Amino acid sequence: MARPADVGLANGLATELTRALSQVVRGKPRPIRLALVALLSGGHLLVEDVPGVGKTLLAKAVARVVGGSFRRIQATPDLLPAELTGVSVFSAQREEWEFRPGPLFANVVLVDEINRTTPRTQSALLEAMEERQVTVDGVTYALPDPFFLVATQNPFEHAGTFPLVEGQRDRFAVVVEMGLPGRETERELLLGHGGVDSLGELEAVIDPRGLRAAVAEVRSTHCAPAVADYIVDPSTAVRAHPEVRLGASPRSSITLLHAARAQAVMGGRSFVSPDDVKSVAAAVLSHRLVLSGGPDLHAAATLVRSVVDRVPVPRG
Amino acid sequence: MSVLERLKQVNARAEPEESVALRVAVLVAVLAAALAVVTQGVGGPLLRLAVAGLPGAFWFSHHARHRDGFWLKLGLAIAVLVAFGSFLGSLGGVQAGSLATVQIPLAELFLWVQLLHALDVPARRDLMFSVVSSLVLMAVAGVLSISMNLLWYLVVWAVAAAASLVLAYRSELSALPALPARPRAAGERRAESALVHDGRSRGARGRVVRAVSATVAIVVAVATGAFFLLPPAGQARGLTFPSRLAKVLPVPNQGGLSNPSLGSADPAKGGGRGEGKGEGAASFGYFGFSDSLDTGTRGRPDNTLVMRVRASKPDFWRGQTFDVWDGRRWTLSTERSRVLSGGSPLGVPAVPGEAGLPPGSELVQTYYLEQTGPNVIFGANRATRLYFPDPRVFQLPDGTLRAGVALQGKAAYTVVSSRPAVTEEILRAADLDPAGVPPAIAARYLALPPVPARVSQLARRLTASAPTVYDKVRAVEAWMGANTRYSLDIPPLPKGADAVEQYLFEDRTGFCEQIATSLVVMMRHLGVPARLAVGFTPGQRNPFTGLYEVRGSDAHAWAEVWFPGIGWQAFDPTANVPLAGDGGLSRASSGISSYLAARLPHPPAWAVDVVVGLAVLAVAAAGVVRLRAVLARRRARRPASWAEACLARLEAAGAARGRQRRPSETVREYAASLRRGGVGDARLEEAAAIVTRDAFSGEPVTAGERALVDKVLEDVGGKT
Repeated sequence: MARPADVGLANGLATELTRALSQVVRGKPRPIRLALVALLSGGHLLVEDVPGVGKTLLAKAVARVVGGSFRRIQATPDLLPAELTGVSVFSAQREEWEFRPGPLFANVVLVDEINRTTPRTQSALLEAMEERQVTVDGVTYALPDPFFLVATQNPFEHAGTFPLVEGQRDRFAVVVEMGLPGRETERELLLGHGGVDSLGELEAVIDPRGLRAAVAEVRSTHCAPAVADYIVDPSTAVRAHPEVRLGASPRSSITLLHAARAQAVMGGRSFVSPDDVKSVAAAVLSHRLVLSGGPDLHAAATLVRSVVDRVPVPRG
Repeated sequence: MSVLERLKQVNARAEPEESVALRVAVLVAVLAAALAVVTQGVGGPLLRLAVAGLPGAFWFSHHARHRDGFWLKLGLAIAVLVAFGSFLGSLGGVQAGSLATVQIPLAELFLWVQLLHALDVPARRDLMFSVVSSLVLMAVAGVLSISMNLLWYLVVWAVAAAASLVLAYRSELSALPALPARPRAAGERRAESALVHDGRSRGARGRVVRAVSATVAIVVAVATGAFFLLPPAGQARGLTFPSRLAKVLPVPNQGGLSNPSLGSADPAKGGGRGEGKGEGAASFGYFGFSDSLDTGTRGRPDNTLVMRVRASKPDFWRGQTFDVWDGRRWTLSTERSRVLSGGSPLGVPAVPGEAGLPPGSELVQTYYLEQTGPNVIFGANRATRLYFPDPRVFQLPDGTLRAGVALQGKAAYTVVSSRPAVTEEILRAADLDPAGVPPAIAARYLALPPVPARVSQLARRLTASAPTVYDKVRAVEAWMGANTRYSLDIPPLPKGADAVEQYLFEDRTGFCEQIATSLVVMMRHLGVPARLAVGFTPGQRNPFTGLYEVRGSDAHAWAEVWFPGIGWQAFDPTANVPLAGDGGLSRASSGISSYLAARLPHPPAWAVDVVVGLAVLAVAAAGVVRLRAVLARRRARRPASWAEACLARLEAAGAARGRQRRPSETVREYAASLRRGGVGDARLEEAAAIVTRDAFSGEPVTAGERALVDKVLEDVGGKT
């Protein structure tokens, strides 16, 4: 495919990132692609699936390839908000209150098993994710830029979990389901190709500055008016769908635009095409929907795909 | 199989109809039609009772819809046979071949069948039969009707019949098995089907309304077009014509004149004949329908509808004539009348002066009286046959007819007249030889009291250059038209004054009595036999019933001039009645504009301005809306871009291979799909990427890329 010369930094980075991640997370091109869409569009990522399919591996791998500071939070029921954001302590030497930043102050934050912690702690994450800042004792502290949060959760566990409320799910740009590996991939894992063991070999391919520039480039990717219409149309149609109790918010359209831009850049294009919108729509929209039968990511994804399959694409 | 079983099998019931709404709609339609027929005077008390029982019959047949009903059918069949027998019996009393007499018993028979049928309408098919036969009843009522009252029955019937057709169709649809739903993905089927179904039912209602209104519009347009284009009902060619009397009340003086509507204003009674007072003003009470006509009387009857006349052409409906003039008052020289008696129709013999005339064109007139009036029998000039309910009528020497009974409202009779087929040329050709006037005519219709000198001079001066009698008449008419004014408000006639002189030289205004009298006097003075006739102008034709509606104010007096070989010919400068030789009506809708103009309310002038202004505004607004829509469409229809053209070519190539593009498929997806299907080569997907870039990147692709795409599309057969 002809690749225009003006596709710059971000595309190169995306290629590099994809290659690096593929070495560790074997046979999962779609989760890798969507994880990078979240990263490059400046959003946050939620990895969802049953235990043992590599959720944490993907999250860790993404954290490693992005340079800069990295913190990991293992969410537990007794985790307190202050343990995430940090606390003010009185410094005896300087005779004043001093802020000790918590683990959220990092470029990449991995929140493992996010649904195991209490709603109180989960909600502390809200402000951090959306506003990229935390407030402790009335003082607001900006989080580092870039700030990329990767969370994992097992949706099929019920005992001792606190399912994310709709507002929090909305904060994640993309939700990825890992899916079971194929037979060949599983065999490769057994033979020592990729997997947790190879995580140590993974090196950062991008530094915070590079990521900032890449995100800026993604966000300025050209989007034709017809494509903007095409972004709004599925959201509107989904909202009007009778089986949807709570539809996608206007924020989701903005997120969908950024995600489609990231997808375009990763595909080597300097503009958003309807194909890009289509390939990220389900991942961006489905976790925001509340169906009349209750939250069900699978059914929601099916519904979004069926709606997208009925919305006419712009002809040009 | 026994005969009884066979009968049962043949009469096996269809599925009973459960819809009560449908039954009610059919009942209303049948009831409206039956009442329409009954109000036209069909049937006796028994039939009226049966019509009143219609709702009960429908209720019964609804309750019995699931029953076998064999014995009911048998009973109904017997009852229908009885009705038919009664119909045959009633035919025995009428003359063979007289259709008009058959039509009433036939309508009665049909009504009976309909009423009996109402007892056994279990299925939709039976109800629909009821609706169709109610249409026939409406047609019967339409034939019998002479007034606009039928309109209300027609409206009720039309609404009910339309409703029952719709309800029957709906009921038929509900009996069909529902269509299976289209299979869909499990997760969305329920919700989506709810969505789609809802949308469909809304759309369906819109479609039904559109279809119904379109049908109504077409029917109205076709009916209006037919109404305006079709010729009117032609001359009745009947065998027997309607005639009826509500009550037979002999008049006091057999052969004499009786006009109860004049009351105390009757000059014959001597009282109330005030100078200049309009006493004879009640409806039929035109003072001309009396033994004498005083031209000093003023005032005219009101606008009451006095009678309806069914005739194929307009004419003067003449009541009687006057021959003796004394300078102020018209009287009859003789009251001697001849008794005509016999069956209906009654042949009317010719009177002196009219004997041996060639037969003219026949004009059948049926008079339906609405008010009690004089016992004169109206008829266009020269009645030859009379259909009259009373066997005895009286003929005066002038040829006009009088009844021996009082003619009250709801009486009807038919006169067949032979009208001389005259035109201007024929009248000019039939010029009078003064010596050739038969003595009988000359004695009665040339006598005059002394004519004032001024009148005499005027008559001679006006007609000096007129070569024929016809031209003399026209000359006098023309002079009066130019020099006098028609008005109902004229000063009282001074005592001792000559009415003609007063009108022509003093007042110079007058109404029909003065105008016609002047014409008669001047003609007699010139040696031309003439007389004064009184009666009615044709009245206004109601285009919907085809009947002439004659009102009290249509009472009129006009002159009749005698022509050898033609007889009496009416002349009147004020009434617009064509000569018999001229053409008649051209369209069924003739007279509709004047009919409507007379009935529609007269809005004030500003209302017309407002309506016109609103209409102009509405048209302008509609134009602006339309223009904007056109402009918007033109704007939306911008020229197709190169990318769109390429997509169209690719679609054509795919469609040619039986693989249409789905609207939700992008160019690249479509190209990939075609590629998997073995269309083109790897460059196809590259071309799709270029097309996508051209469409959405905001920058046109290079000429080289375009050439590449064109080449690829050409290879896969995408025609430009």
